Amino acid sequence: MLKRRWNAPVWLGCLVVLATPFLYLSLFLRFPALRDRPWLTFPIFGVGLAVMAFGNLRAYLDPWSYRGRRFGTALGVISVVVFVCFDAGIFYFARSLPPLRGGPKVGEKAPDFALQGTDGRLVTLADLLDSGKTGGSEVNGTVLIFYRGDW
Amino acid sequence: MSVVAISVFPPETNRELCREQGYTFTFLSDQKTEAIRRYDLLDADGGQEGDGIVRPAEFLVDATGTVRWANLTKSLIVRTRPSEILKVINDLNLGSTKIH
Repeated sequence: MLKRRWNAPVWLGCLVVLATPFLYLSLFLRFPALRDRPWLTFPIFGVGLAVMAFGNLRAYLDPWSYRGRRFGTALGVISVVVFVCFDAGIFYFARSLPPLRGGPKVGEKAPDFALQGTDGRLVTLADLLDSGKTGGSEVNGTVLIFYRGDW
Repeated sequence: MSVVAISVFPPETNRELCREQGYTFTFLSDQKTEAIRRYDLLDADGGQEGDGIVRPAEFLVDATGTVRWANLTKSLIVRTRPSEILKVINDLNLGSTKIH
C-alpha cells in the first residue's frame, strides 16, 4: 500500500493562526504604532489561512498522496473560529464601553476627590498637588491612572 | 510628577498588590465610585455585584489642578504606554519627568 505523505501546511497554517492573537496581545500592544492598527494582524491570519487552505485542497484533490483530510478540516474550523473570536474581541467586546458624557476636558479644573490610600487614610487631589505633603519634593503635577484591575 | 493609580479595589487589596509587586507610587481606593463618577468614567454594567467599575483612563493634572492631557481609551485592551505619558510631560514642558 502506498504511503501517503504528511500534509505539513494544514498544521503550519493552523499554528500561524493560533499564534497571531498571542503575537498581538504580547508584542503589538507594546508598540503604539502596531497596537492602534489591529488590522495589521489580518495579513498574518491571511497567510495562515491560505497555507492551510492549500494543505486542505491537496488533501481533498489528491487524497492518495496526501494525508490530512480529517485533521485539515478540523484545524481549518478551529482556525476560522479563532480568527472570528479574536476579531470580535478586539473590534467589538473590548470597545463596548459606556459613552462619554461630561468628564473633565483639557484646560478645565480636575475634579477634587478624597479617597483611601493603602493605609486607609483619606487622600485628596489637593494633597497630591501640595509640595508640602509629598515628602518635600517639588510637585509639578500628577498622572491619575484609573484602572480596572491588576490582571 | 507623581503617579496615582485609582481603582474600585479596597485598600487591603492595593496594599497586598504593592507588597507583591514592590510598587512605591500611590494607590487610591474608590469603592463607592465617587471620583470615578466625577470623572465620568463609570462603567455601570461591569464590576462585582453590579456595583459598576471604571472605564480605563489617564489624566495629567498640573500643579494648579488643571487637566493638561487626558486619554479616554476606546478599547479595554489599549492603555497609554509609560513612554507616551513621558513624551506628553516633555512636550507640555511641565518640567522634570522624574516620576516619584
